Amino acid sequence: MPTLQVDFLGSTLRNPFLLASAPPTNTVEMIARAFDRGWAGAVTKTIPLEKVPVRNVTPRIHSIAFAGFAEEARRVYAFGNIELVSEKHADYWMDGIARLRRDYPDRFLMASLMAEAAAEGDWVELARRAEAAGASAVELNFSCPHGGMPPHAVGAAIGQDTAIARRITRWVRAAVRCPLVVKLTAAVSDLRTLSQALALAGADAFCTINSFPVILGVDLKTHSPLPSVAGRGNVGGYTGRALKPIALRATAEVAPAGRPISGCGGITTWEDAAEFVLLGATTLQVCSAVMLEGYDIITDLCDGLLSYLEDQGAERLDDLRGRALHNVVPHASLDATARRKSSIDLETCTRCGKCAIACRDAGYQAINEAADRTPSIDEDKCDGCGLCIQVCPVWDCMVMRAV
Amino acid sequence: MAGKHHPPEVRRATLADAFAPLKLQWAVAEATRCLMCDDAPCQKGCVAGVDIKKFVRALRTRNVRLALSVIREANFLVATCGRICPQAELCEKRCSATGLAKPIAIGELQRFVGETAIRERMRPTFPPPRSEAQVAIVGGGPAGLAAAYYLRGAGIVADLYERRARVGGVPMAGIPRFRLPRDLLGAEIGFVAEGGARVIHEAVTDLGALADRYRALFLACGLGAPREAGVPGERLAGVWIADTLLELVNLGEDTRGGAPPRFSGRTVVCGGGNTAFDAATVALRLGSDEVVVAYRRSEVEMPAWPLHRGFAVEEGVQLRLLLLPREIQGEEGRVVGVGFQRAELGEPDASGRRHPRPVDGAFESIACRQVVLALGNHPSAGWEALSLEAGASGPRVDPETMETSRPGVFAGGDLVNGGATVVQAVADGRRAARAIAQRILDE
Repeated sequence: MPTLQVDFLGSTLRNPFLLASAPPTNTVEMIARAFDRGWAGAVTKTIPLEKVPVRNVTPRIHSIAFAGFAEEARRVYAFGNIELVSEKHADYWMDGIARLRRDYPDRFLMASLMAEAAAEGDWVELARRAEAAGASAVELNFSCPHGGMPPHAVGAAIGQDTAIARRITRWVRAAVRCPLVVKLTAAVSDLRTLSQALALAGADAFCTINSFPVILGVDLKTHSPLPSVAGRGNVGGYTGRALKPIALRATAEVAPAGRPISGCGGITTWEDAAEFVLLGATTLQVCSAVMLEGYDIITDLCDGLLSYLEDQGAERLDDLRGRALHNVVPHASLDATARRKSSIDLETCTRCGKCAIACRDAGYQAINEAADRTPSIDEDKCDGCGLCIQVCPVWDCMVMRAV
Repeated sequence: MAGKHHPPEVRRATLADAFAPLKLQWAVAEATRCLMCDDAPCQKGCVAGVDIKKFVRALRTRNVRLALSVIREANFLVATCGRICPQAELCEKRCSATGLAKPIAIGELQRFVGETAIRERMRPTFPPPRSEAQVAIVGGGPAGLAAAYYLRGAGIVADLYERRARVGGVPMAGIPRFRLPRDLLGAEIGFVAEGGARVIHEAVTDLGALADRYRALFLACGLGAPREAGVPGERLAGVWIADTLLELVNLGEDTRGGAPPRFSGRTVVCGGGNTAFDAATVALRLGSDEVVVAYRRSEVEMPAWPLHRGFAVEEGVQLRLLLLPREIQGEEGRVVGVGFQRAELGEPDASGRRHPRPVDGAFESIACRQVVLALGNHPSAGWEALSLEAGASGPRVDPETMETSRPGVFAGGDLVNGGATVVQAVADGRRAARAIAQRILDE
């Protein structure tokens, strides 16, 4: 029987799914409830030391939804937030970690930590206390996009500076024996060099990625960035499905560093999860999907991933891990001689004409429409770009065929 | 939500499937419309307790196999109930998306899963048998088959007694094949025999002996014979009992009952239940020029589900209300019309519906060449031999375990509920199977 069990940083997890460090892990009680629903582990909301004031604003979460039709529900495909780290401090969390460790000895419990770039003592203190409390690992938050505790560099400001990130990783490495995970931001020019440097500095694993810095929108009446806090806004963190392609790229870039990866960024369905595994992830962190649909999606994620294992004839996720990595190649290595052209299944075609419009105005004028709107491909003109297939609203109606 | 039927003028001309096929893309799009409510009110409306939210969520990601196993866990007649369940009265009635636009077409999504499973031969898997021939099931309708299926899922192989040549009960014999094609139902109930349940085609004459011979007995023998109208002229040529007509059209060729009859002119159907409307749509397809359903009370009291009525009315079936049949008129041994007395609504009767009160001197006749009587069935008989305590209809049972007053004897389906839905029968059979399995495996 296939199993979703994975080994990660010395622990055996019942499934690869962890709650990411985010609103779904706001409190100890919430994490306990998620464990009861079947989550294999969780990363606490990022823990600051007592001396750090954390003052959140309202509102601090906004989203982008599909416009859809009037009769349709509003459907979020990305969130943007300007929420800070946990408003609860180290005392609360260390006590909570100890309780969760006692009540859920088999779950993977990671303490997410944040301190200022130069504060060696703070990093060391946080990591030692988390280890003593019984955390399975510590996750260094080098990636939060709001720079939440000015004037000193925190979060992404660290993850964007290799020298600072390496220095903090060394401090923590020297201070604790428990596994050390670094959570990265993709808002950098190159994750390959950074991840290799941090691996050498002692990072045992990486989490790819945290939210991406964005301005989610601007209110057209008040001219305030969104979410608007009394008429003003801030660069926020972009999460949810829209983030997934960026996170997939980051995962593939970090894989050569040779450390286990906790994939994170827009994982919503088992299919998303499988993609991260194919690009090298061992565990998978989820936040936005839980913000939308609650802890119960864990059963859907697990059931779907398990049936994918069966489909693939695999026993464990290890059998599939990284299988897509060797297929990510430079453009020059792609086979330019394999020519393909579009074809249309007229049985399922709805005669909407979207392919013809796209080809006419953004392609090669290769799709003709008959009087009854039936489309046909002019194979001499078709250049095989594939645009028509992407705009076709019917699945599997248009496909590329070798010529 | 009404099924995706072919247009009325197309479907009324044929006994072939009235439902249009469903595509994966439609299913995914419809599943995506689901709001995934916290408490999933739809599930509270499902008699079988299908985890609707979970199967709809699985469809969103095109995971048909998962959707299938979720539904089968609670209801093995996936495509069947997808087609014939009154979803508008059950799950879909409570759908939160109704407030947004219209309910999610849960029934059609389930039909899609069931039909895909049959087409792609996704068979259920059963554990190795742990125990054999310790359980007897009497009646091969949905309740009995469900008990056999879910017992098999618990590793218990049951003996199933069916007096007819084919299992399948009312859905096989009585639900018109254009609503529920034979091969489709056959495939779903076929899983029971494929799982190893022994089907014994014989009429059980001595229930007491059976109860002694087996460790557990599940009675699912359905309702008794159809009611007659009790009016002059019932024996005329051209007068049909609805059950007989439906069975002949469904199974005539298999059971040597012969080809379906040809109808002509006008057909009058007496009754107001779902069977009356099934018979009416069958009468259209047999060649009637016009079909009239005549019912004793008003539309409000009519037991047939509104959408089921709508399906018939769309095809041109006419409704006449507040008419009490008084005689079937004949010439030279053949029916030529039905004589009715008009009625008005009186006080509510035992069923809570207003009673039809005859209006003195108000008579009328409707000329016709066929009459179909769809007046319900007598309660089931036979179970009295086991001297069980009686309930409202049939033996009294514990609603959790379906066990009767005699330990080891269980009962379910139409026998105990006086005639309800297929999904209710499946739920009964599954509940009894769970209780029986627990008892046998605990010992």
